[in-house]
Amino acid sequence: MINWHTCFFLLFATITCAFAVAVVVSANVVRMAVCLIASLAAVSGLYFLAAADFVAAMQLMIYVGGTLVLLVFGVMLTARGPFVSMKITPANWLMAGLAGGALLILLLCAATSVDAWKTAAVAASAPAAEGGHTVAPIGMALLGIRVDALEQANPALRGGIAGYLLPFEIVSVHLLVVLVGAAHLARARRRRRPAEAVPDASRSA
Amino acid sequence: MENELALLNNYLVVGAMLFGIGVIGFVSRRNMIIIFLAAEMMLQGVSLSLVAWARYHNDFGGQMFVVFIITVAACEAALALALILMLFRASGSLDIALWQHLREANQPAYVDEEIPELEVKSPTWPRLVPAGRQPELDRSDTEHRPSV
Repeated sequence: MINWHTCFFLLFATITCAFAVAVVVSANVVRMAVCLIASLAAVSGLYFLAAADFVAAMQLMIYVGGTLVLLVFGVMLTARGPFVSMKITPANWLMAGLAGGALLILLLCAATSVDAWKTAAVAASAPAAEGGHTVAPIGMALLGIRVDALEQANPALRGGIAGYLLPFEIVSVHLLVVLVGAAHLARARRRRRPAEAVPDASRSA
Repeated sequence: MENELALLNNYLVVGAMLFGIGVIGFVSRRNMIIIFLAAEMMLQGVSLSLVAWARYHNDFGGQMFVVFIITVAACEAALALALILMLFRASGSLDIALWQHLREANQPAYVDEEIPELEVKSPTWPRLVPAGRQPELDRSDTEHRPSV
């Protein structure tokens, strides 16, 4: 009997990690962007497996559809001739591998050290989010109502369970301000002087 | 459910892999766009761990965090690409080493591999005098141009 949940978990986890390594190792910027698309799409598959369907759909739409298209536009706007790859010395790789590898080993040890975490979920006391129907609870929580916490038995705890209306508003205004600022920063301005000074610190240093 | 692999700690392992690989890419690469990609990857590692915790505790608070993380990451992407575009217009390259004068005061400069400069010897051209005058010859001219 094949456990399809396990199969798909292995598949998505392998795709995620393999394409993440490809992003770091690859030399071509466009190829890296495509590898990152594959990696993030596999991460959204992992979200689906973890019964987070709204987050997974959001990941597919915003990251794979939006952010990476923006990124490819950035690559194209800054392309100059054939895509130049900056030289990385083996010493750079060694230092980065030491620093990142030490952090990676620490995180892996932390993730595998606790025996209680080797279960998929704690005993389902409130099976509200189980089954992957999370769109309605998340929407209500963004409006300020936690539908899974309405029948909280302890009245002392009931006041502390609020929704996410205030963070939602803050992040909305934040998104608006940032997008206006980004458009202002990236606008094409008229050049006043014919030749701008090029900071060339690495050559002169 | 026996033979189950999609456990909390396996999700955490995948998230840690994404974060660690992102750190390695962030530290080692020099292209600003690639550094930005690596930062996105680190954010994804954290988001995956949060979703796994939400599933473990049967509470979608972790998913709410991920919703906000994705929103802030979209802001960050727009702002980062605008900044990268601005820096590219100012310096003509995506190399982060061109902006190393922003480093701390007591840090040594990162010196790229030295490209040996081409030595161009300027050739000795004949000197011309105004028309109608006898050119004055000095010794180096006569040595250099024996036909004169």
